[in-house]
Amino acid sequence: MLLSNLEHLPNHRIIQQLDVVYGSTVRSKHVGKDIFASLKNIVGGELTAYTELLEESRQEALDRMIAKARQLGANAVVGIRFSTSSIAQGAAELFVYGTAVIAEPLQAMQSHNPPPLPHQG
Amino acid sequence: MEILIQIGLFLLLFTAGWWFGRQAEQRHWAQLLQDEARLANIRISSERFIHPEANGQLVCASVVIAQDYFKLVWANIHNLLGGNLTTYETLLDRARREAIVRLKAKAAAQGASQILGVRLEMSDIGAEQGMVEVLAYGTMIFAPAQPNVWPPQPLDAIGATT
Repeated sequence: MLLSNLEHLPNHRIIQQLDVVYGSTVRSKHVGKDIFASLKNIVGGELTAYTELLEESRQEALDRMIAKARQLGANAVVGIRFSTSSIAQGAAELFVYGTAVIAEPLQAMQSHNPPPLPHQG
Repeated sequence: MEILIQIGLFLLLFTAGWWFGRQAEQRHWAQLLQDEARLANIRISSERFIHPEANGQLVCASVVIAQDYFKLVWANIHNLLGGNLTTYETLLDRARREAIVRLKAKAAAQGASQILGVRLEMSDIGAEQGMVEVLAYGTMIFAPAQPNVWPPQPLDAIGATT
């Protein structure tokens, strides 16, 4: 699955726009990690356990979105946005959404000049 | 007696926070400068409408960073007086720069040389304890590698067309 957070997919032409697809996970903090984090809070610095936890959860949200896009028969998702909301004490929702599209690769262009626009000349 | 123990504990945490927090922050800043210079060949842009002639893929990186106890207390006192909360400014600055560095490192590891449409997002996961998460994401472009020069050159100097 090709993913892009731009309005388009680099070096591809979008043939068909299908639907908005999204995926989310709600993750609560781990008690052990929470205790460790509160200790780490005294000296400051990075909380590696939380970084990993959130990264895992975000990947899972992405995977769910990709699964939905696949069901629609898409081969790419463009305009991807992430958002995070804390819905309860110690729980966070990680949300990702984008537009599922069917895209085809453009012919490899060797020159650095942009192709002429159709309305010109 | 109990109040003495409480005050003692507070002072202990306060000084430990000040000492270790300051060291950690200075180490982090030194590390950031090093990493930024090392990854200067990865060009980034928040522009969404650049059409490069190479394939791309989504890349994201995040960091959770916490304030030390000294700064937390200091910020709470400062909060009453108003004005710029410098202690929080440095925390957010460090978190954002670290997220960008990680984003660049991930892109570099997969052979990309540019990242377009970079977005920075901060999420609040226990902000009352001075804990923030910064997520950076963008679309990495697998264009030919660029020379590593500092400061970074503009994107149009390296053949990206808009």
